[in-house]
Amino acid sequence: MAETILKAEHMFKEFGATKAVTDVTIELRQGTVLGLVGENGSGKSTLSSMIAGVYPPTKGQMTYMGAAYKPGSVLEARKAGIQYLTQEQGTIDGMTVAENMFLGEEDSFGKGGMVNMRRLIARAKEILNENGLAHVDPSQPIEKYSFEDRKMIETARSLSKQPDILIIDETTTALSKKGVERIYEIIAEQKAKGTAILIISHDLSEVQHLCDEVMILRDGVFIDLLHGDDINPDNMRQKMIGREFEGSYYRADFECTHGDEVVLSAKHLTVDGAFRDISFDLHKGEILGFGGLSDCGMHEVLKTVFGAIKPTHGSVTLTEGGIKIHNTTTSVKHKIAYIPKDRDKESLFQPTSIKDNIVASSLDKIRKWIYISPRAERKMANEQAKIMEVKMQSVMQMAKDLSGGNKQKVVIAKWLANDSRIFIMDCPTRGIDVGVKAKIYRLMEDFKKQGISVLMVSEEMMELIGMADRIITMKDGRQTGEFMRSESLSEADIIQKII
Amino acid sequence: MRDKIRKIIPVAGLLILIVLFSLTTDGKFFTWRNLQNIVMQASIALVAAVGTVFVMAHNNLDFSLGGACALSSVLAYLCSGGNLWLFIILAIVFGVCCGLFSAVVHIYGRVPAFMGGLCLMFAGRGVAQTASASRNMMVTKAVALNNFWVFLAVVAVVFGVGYFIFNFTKVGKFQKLIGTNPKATELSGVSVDKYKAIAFVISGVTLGIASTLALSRSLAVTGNTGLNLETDVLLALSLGGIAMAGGSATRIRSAIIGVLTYYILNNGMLLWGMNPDYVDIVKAVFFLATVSISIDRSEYDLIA
Repeated sequence: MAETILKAEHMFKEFGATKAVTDVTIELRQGTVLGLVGENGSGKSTLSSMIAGVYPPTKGQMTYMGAAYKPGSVLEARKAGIQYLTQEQGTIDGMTVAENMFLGEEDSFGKGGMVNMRRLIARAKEILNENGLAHVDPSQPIEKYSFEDRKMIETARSLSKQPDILIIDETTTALSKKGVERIYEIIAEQKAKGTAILIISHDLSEVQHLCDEVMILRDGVFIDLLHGDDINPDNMRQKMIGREFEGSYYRADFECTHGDEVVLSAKHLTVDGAFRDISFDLHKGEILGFGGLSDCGMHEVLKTVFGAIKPTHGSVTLTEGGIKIHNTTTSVKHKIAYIPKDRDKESLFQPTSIKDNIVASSLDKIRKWIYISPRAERKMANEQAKIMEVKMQSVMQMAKDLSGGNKQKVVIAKWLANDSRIFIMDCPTRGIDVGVKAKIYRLMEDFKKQGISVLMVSEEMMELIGMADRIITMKDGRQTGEFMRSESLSEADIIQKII
Repeated sequence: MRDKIRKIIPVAGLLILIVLFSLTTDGKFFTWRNLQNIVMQASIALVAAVGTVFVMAHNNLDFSLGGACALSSVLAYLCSGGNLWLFIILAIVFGVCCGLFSAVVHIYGRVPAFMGGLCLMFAGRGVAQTASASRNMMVTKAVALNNFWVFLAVVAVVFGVGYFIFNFTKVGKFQKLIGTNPKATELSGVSVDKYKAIAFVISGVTLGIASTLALSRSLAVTGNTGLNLETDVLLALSLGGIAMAGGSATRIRSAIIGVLTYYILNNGMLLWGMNPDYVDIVKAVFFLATVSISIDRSEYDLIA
C-alpha cells in the first residue's frame, strides 16, 4: 500500500435539515487515483469540498501529512498543497490571463505593493508553454479565450506549484475531446509524480479507465470501495442506485422507426460565424441526433430552429399550418420545447419556486381571460412534478436548492406542462447521474410512441447511437454525414466524420 | 431565519414608528386630521410607486418620475387648455409616452433604462421651468379633487389593480421571471422586450394619475411639479424592502409599506417640532439602517 497523504475520518456535513454527508471515511494515498461516484445529491461534491476547504465539516476530523488539518478557506488548502478543479469557471473576467494565474500571489513578483508585470507575464508564459497552451497570450484579458481554454489555464495554474493532492470535480464534462485528453495526460503525469488524486465523475467509463479504486456514495452514506475488476460501469451503476436496472439503459431496438409525416423542416439554414447551409426534415415520432465537436455549430443549429437565433439565410417551417419560426414565442405557441445545454444560465429560474419554473411556458393554458389562479398553477405544477418524480418537499421550494438531476426534471416538466410536440434537447443528460439519465431515455422512448419528435444534440457518442433514429454529423459548421440507426453503427464511424 | 427577519423588518419598522410617534407627540399623531394629512401626502408617491414596482421587478431603475411628471403635466395643461377632465386623460397619455421613451431607449438602444430616465429627469424639469416662467398654469377646478376620500379611493383602486396585475396575470409574473433570468425567460417562449415595454406603460399610467393628484394639491403646474418624486419613490421602495435586482422576491406590498414609512417618519418628526433640515438627516440615517438590515445580499456573496 502506498503511503497515506490525507485521511478524513467520520465526516459529517449538514445543511440545515439536509444531511449531505453522514459518517464517511476517506483516505487519499500517494500516486493513487481514487474515484468518487454516486448519483446527484449523494454527497460527492460536499465531501471533496470539505477536503478542499470550501466549508468546514459539521463533525469529523482530517489528518494531512500526519498533522491535524482544518483548512479555513480554499486559498489556505491551496497553500497547503491541495488543488481543487471544479466544473464551474474559476477565472475572473476583466483581468488578464497572467493576473488570473497568480491571483493572491502577486507579492512574489514585486515589493511594496508594486507588481512587476513583466516578470509576472514572463512566468505565466513559461507555465502556459509547458502545458501545451502556447497560443495563449498572458497579457490578454481572460475573457478573450473560450471556456475550454480558460479551464486549461486554470488547470495549468493549479499545477504551477507541485500539489500533494489534486481533486478533479467533474471538470471533463464541459470540455471537448481534446481538452479531456489533456486532463487525462495530466492525471497520468501527476500519478507518476506521486500526487494523490481524487476524481469525481458521472462518466463511468472514464472512471473505469482512470481509477485505481472507486468509492461509492449513496444519499451521503458510504456504500462500497471497489478495486480491480469490480470497477466496471454495470457494477458501479448498480451500487449507485442500489437496485438493478430494469431493461436496458438506452433503446433496446435497433430499428429506425418513425412516422412518414414531416413535422418540421429546416432549409438552407446559415448563421454567419456558426454554421452554413444546414437542411433537414424532422419526422413524426423521430429522434434526430446531431453529433460533432462542441464548437462545430450544432448547439447553434438547435437554438436557430427554436427561434432564439435569427438565421442569416434559410428558414424553419412547421408543416402544420406552414408556420415559419422566427422567434421563441412562435415556437412555444406551436408546442416546441427547448432544453438548453447550460441549465443554470439558460433554462432555470434559480431563486424562484419550482411551481413558477414549471408553469412559466403554459400560463395561457390555465388563464381565465387575464386571471391566473394560484390554485390552478399549483395543480399544474404538482401534476407535472409528479410525472417527472422531482425529489422535493413541495412545489413552493426554491429551484436552486435542488440537485442537478432534479433541476433538469423541473425543466422537462415545464415543457410537458405545455403539451409540447417537438422537443429540442441540447445535451439533455449533461452532468446528470445514471438514475435520472435512464429516466430521460425512457421518456424519449415514450415520446416516440406518442408521436412526439425529438431533435437532440449530444457530446456523448454512445448516447447518440443509443437513442437516435438518425444522426447528422457536423464539422466546422458544415453537415458532413448522415447515419441511420443500426446495430452495426459504431463510435468510430461517427468520429471519422466529425474530426 | 435570517431571511425571515429580513422580510419582517420593513413591516416592523413601520409599526415601531407608528407606536413611537403615538406615544411621543401628545396624541397629535393619532388625530384624524393628521392621519388624513399623511395619506394625502403619501398618495402621489404611492401611486407612482405601484407602477415603478413593475419596472424594478424586471430589474430596471426608473429615474424619470419627477421629470416625467413635470413634462406630462405641462404638456397636458397646454393641450387641455386648463380643462380638468381633459388634463387627467392627457396626463396619463403623456405619462405613457414618457414610459415608452425609456422603454425604447432601453430596448432598442440596449442601454439601462435609467439612462433614458435621467434624460427625462433633466428635460422635463427644464420644460416645466421654462413654461412656468412665461405663463401661469392654474387649473382651479382641480380643488374638487383635493379631498381625503378622493385620494383614498384613487390609491385603493390603483393599488388594488396593481396588486391584481402583479400577482395574478402574465404581465406581473413575467416581470419577475425576467428579473430573475432574462435569458431563460426568452427561451421559455416569452417576448422579454414586449413585457418590459408593458411595465413601462404601466409605470406611465400610474405616473399620469400621480400627476393629476399633484395638480389637485397645488392647483397649478409649476416649475417644481413632481420635484424629487423619483428619489422619494426609490427611497420609499427601499424602505419597503423591495428586491434591488428585481426577480421573484419582488413584492408589490413594498410600495405601500415603504411609502407609509417614509411619510410617517417625516410627519412624526415635524410633530416633534424638529427643524426640517435635521429631519432630512434623520431620514438618511433611518434609511441606511433599515436597508442595511433588510436588503437581500445574496447576489453580493462570494461563494453562494
